[in-house]
Amino acid sequence: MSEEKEKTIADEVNEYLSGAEITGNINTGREKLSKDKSVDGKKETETCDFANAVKQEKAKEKIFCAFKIKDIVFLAVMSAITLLTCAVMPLVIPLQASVFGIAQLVTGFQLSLFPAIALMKVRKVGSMFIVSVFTGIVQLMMSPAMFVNNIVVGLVLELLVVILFRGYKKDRAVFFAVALYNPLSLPFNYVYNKIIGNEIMTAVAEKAPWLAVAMAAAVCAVAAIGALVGIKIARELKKAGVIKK
Amino acid sequence: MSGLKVKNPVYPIIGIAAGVVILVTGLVTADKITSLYYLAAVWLLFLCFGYYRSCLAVIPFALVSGAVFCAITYAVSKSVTSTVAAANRILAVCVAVLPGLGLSPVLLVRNLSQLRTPRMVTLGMMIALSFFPLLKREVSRVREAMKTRGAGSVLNPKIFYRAFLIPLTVRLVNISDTLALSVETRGFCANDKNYTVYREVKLQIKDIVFAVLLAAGSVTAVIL
Repeated sequence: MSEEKEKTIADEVNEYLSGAEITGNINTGREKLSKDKSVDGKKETETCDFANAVKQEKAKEKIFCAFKIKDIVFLAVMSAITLLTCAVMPLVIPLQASVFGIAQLVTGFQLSLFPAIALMKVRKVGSMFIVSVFTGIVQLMMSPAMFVNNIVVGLVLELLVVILFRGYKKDRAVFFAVALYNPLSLPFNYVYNKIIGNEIMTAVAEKAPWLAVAMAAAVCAVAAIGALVGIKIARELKKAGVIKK
Repeated sequence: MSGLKVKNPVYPIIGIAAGVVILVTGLVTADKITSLYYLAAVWLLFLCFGYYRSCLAVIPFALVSGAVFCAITYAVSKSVTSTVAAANRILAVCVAVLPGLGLSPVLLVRNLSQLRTPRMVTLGMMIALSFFPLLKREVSRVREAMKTRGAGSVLNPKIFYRAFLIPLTVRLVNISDTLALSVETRGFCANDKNYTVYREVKLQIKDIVFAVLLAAGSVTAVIL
């Protein structure tokens, strides 16, 4: 047996994935391995490993991937904990008439932290939208405006992430989507209140524009901190083996 | 929250639609005094349909937030009309949440499943709606563990991160994994295959009566 044939299939898979030696396409690799299989029947399971590895590699190249049950469950659990921790918002609703964006400020950290962990685990296009749908559906019973806001923001962010990053494979994409999730609701709320909502809330922003700008900056900062902490936690848990792909 | 659930609530989709209609009508007519009568009438309507616990539960919140909101609005605008409008908006939110408060998540999910809503949405909704008590318990358990270990104040960012956020997230990931396994072993799948609902939610005459009364009241409030 030549030196090349002595190599295990696992080694070949590693080489293929790293692109070090095998530069041929996937079909060439498969043909080569099917020869090995005919030579030695014991290598059948390793061939399956190779096929799985190729599948995974192909999936990595894809932008849109199908969601599995475990993805949906994880996103739903994260949405539930996000909503639970946002329960402080009703306490500051009366203050909205005097301080622009106070509701977004108190929920900014939670709305970035947990979705960041969710997106770090489920790195599929549509994850952010699913989180916003699950949180929005619960909010529909309290405020339809918040539901519409969530859906619109979720869609806009998904679109931006696909255009700019081609998915959530990079941590930068996760940070981008999550850090903008809450701040984007500020302009939406302003427009909503201007058209059909409460003129007092828009008046607050118009009377003290510097305060509105400062609050918007604070909301962005809090959301960014939440996103960073979420990404840090997800990395730590991935390293510890708690979060698996 | 579970104590607020109504035994025989109105048809779930009608209930959700009712919440949206009440809020929109309340916001549209907020400047008029008729809005106040409309919201009072809707509150009584819910009371008659068995939502008495939910109706009573929103009163303290409506009073406190309404008083604060009205005081701030009056201080800013010095206008009685604006203050009344602010009160109506808060009351509209409080009345609009009544069908949601009284509705069991299972009934809503069953109803949506009957209407062929994608499995992914109903499953996620079910988890998001029914996991609040469990997650609340997990949060308190992590807090208790912190106290037992003498971890220190949760206000300290380092302690908050290491002793609260990390354990909570680990618990959430574990819960999610177990739940996913449980859901899969019960035959749920992400793609929309044909499925049936074991206990169907049926539309009753009282639901139609409720919808007609609410629609009539909303139209009257907008016209007046």
